[in-house]
Amino acid sequence: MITMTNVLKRGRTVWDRALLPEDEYVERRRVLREAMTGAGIDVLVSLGHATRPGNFAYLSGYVPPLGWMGTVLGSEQGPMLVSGGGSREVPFVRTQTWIEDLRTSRSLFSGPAEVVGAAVAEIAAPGARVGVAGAHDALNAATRAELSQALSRYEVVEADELTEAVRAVKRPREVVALRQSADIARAAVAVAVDRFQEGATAAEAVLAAEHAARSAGCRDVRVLGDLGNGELAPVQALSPDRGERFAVYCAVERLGYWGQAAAGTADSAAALAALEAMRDAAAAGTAAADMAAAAIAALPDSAVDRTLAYGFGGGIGLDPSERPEVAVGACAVIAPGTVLALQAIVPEDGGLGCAAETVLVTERGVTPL
Amino acid sequence: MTDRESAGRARIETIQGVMREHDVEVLLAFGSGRHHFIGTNACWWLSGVRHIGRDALVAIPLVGEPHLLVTPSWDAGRATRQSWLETVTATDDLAAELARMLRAHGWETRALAIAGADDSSEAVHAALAEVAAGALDLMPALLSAGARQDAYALECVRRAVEIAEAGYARLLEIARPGVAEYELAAEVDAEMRAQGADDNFLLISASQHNRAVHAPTDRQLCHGDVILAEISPSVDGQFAQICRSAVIGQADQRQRDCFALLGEAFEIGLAGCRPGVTVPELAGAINTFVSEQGYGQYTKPPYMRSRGHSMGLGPLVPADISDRSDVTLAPGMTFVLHPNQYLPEAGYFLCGDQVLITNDGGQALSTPELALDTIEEVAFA
Repeated sequence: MITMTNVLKRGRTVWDRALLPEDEYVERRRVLREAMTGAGIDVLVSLGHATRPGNFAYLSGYVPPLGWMGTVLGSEQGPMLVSGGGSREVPFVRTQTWIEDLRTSRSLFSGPAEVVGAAVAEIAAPGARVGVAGAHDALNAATRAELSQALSRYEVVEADELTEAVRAVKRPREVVALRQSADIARAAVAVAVDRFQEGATAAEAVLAAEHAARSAGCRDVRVLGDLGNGELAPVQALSPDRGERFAVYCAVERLGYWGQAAAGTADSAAALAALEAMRDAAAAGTAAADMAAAAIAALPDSAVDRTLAYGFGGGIGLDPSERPEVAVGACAVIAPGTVLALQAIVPEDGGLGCAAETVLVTERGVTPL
Repeated sequence: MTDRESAGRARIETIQGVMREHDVEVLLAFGSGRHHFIGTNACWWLSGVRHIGRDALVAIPLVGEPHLLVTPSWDAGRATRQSWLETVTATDDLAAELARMLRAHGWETRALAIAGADDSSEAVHAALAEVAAGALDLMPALLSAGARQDAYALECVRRAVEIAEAGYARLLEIARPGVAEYELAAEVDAEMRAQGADDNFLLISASQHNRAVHAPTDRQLCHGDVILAEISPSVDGQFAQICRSAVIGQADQRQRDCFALLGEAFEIGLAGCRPGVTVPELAGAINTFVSEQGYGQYTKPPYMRSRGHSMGLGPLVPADISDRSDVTLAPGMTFVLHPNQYLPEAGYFLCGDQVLITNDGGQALSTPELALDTIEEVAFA
C-alpha cells in the first residue's frame, strides 16, 4: 500500500459492538496469551502509534488519535490500556474500548516509560520476561531509551514477530471489517472518476473521493490523484488543472481496518495484467517475491521501474501496510488467512494506469474481498 | 520570486546565521512524515515540501546550495515543483542516501549539526549515529530563531483562520437534530478542503452535558445539545485553530453564564498577550480569573488541558500556554488562546481564537466576536 503518514485523523470514531463485540477481544486475548506461552513471555507490552496502531489496536480495539498508546497483558492479568494522553480524555476512551483498566501518562507529550513501567511492576516480579512489540514504530529514540530504563529490572525481549504472526492471519470478523473498508475505498474512487468525467478538475475529483469516504464513516482517508503531472499526489491547493486522463488511489480506515482501491478514466491493460498475474500466483505458501516476479513479467519493460517505485502492495489490516510486502527480494511466504491489498500503478500515455484489488489468501488461491 | 520563495530563502538565511553563531558548517534538518499539528517540522519549514514518506531532510551548508532529500522515490516531481530549493532528491532509502549525499558534497568531515531528528525513523537514527555521531542538536536554536513567524507564515495563518471560520459557518448551516457527529464533521472538512485547506485537525462532538471535546461519533444531534468544534485547518502546512460552541435551540441561562465566564477569561487572556509577558503569567491570569469565580478546582486536568498552544508547521513557540512554559511573548508569535474547560453547571465549552502578538498587544485573528451560537430550530421546519 502507498502510505501517506502525515495525515491527521478527524473522522468517525466508534466502537462497533455489533461487528466487533467484547467476546472478539476476549478471544484475541486468549490467542495472544497462547503465543506468549509459546515464546516464554510473562508480560506483553504492545505499543501503537496513531499512524501505525496495529499492535495496540488488535487487543484494545482503539486507534490512538495522537501519538502512542499501549496495552499491557500478563499471563493471567490484564489487559491494561496505557495512554499518552492526559486524564481529560479518559471518559471518551472508555466508550471506545472493552478494556476497563485505563492508565494515563502525565501529559500529551509524555513517553510511556513511567506508566508502562508501573503497570508491568503490578503484574510481574523482577526478572520476569517482558515482550515489547511496536516500540520501533510507536516511539522515538529518546522514549524508547526511557522505556528500556523503566523495564531494566526485567528480561526484555522483542515481541514484534510474535504479534505480527498472530495478526497476519485475519479472524473472521476482521475479514468482514476489511471487506467493508475496501468497499468504501472502491466507492470513493468511483466517485472521483465519475466527477472527473463529468468535467470536474482533478483536484475536485480527489476531494470528492475524500468527502465520500468520510461521509461513509471513515476516520482516516488518504487520497492521491494524478493532478495533471502523470504522478500520484495529494491535493494541497485548488488547481484548475485537468489532464486528458485521470487516475486516483484511495486508502481508508474504518473501525480501525484499512481498505484501498485505485482506478482511472482509462482502462490499463498493463496494470490489469500485472494485477491478474499477482492474483494467479497468490496462494498459501507462495513466496511474496514470486508474486512480484509474476507482476513484473506482465509489464512492459519501460514501465517496470516506476511501477516498482509505487510498489505492488502487500498485507493490510489494522495497519495500512502489513507484512508480507509483495516485492522483489521479499523473503516472506504468504500464510493462509492473510489479506493482501494488491496494486499496479503503471505509467502510460503521459498518465497512470491503475488497478487494485484486495484478496483473502486461502490454501487454494485467493478470494476477492 | 514569489512571497513563498522569498520567505523560504529568508528562513534558510536565518538558520545560516544561527549556524555561524554555533560554528556549524552543515545543518541536517529532519522532518517526520508523521506531521503533527502540534509539532514543528523543520524540514518542511525550511524546504517548502510536505513530504509524503516517513522521513525527509534538508542539508543546509554555510556555503553552497541546500540539498533536500524526500521519500518516497516516486514523489520526486512533486517535491521538486513544491520546493524553493534547487537540489531535490527523492529516494526510498533516506538512511543510505544521507551518507551518499554527505560524501558527494564533501560534507562528512564538516562541523555537522542536526535539528528535528527526534521523530525520524529508527533507520535514520542508526544512520545518524554513523555519519553524525555527537553532532550538535540545533533544534532549540532553530525554535528560538523562528519563534516570531515570518510574513508568509502569518499570511498562511490568516488564511487558515478564514477557512476555519468558513468551516464553522458550514457547521451552523447544516447542524440539525438527527445528523450524526461524524456526518457533520465530514461536511465541515469538505468545506474547508474546498476552500484550500491542505490538512485539518478537527474535533466535533456534542452532548447535553459535555465532559470534553472528542472525535466525532455516531451520536445524533438533538435539541438542547451543545456542539463543540475545535477546527484547525492548515494552509501550506501552517495550522491555525478556532474553538467554538453552539447550542441547538435556545441556550439556557446556565449555558449562557458558563460561556460568558469563559468569554471573559479569553478577553483577560487577550489583554495579557503583550510582548514581555511570560506564558506562565498569561496562563495564570486566566486561571486566577476562573478561580475567583469559584472554579479553582476546575483549572486543572481532567477539566481542562492547557490555555492554548501554538501549532506547526513552523517553530512551536510557545508549545503550551501553561504554567510550565519558559517562553516570554514577543511580536510575531501566534497561537490559539483557548480557556476551554469543564464547568459543573453546564459542562465543557470551547471558546478560543488564534491570536497574534503585535507590538501593541494581542490581536485575535477571527472576525466575529466569540459567542455561544444558537442554531434556531425554525431552520429545520
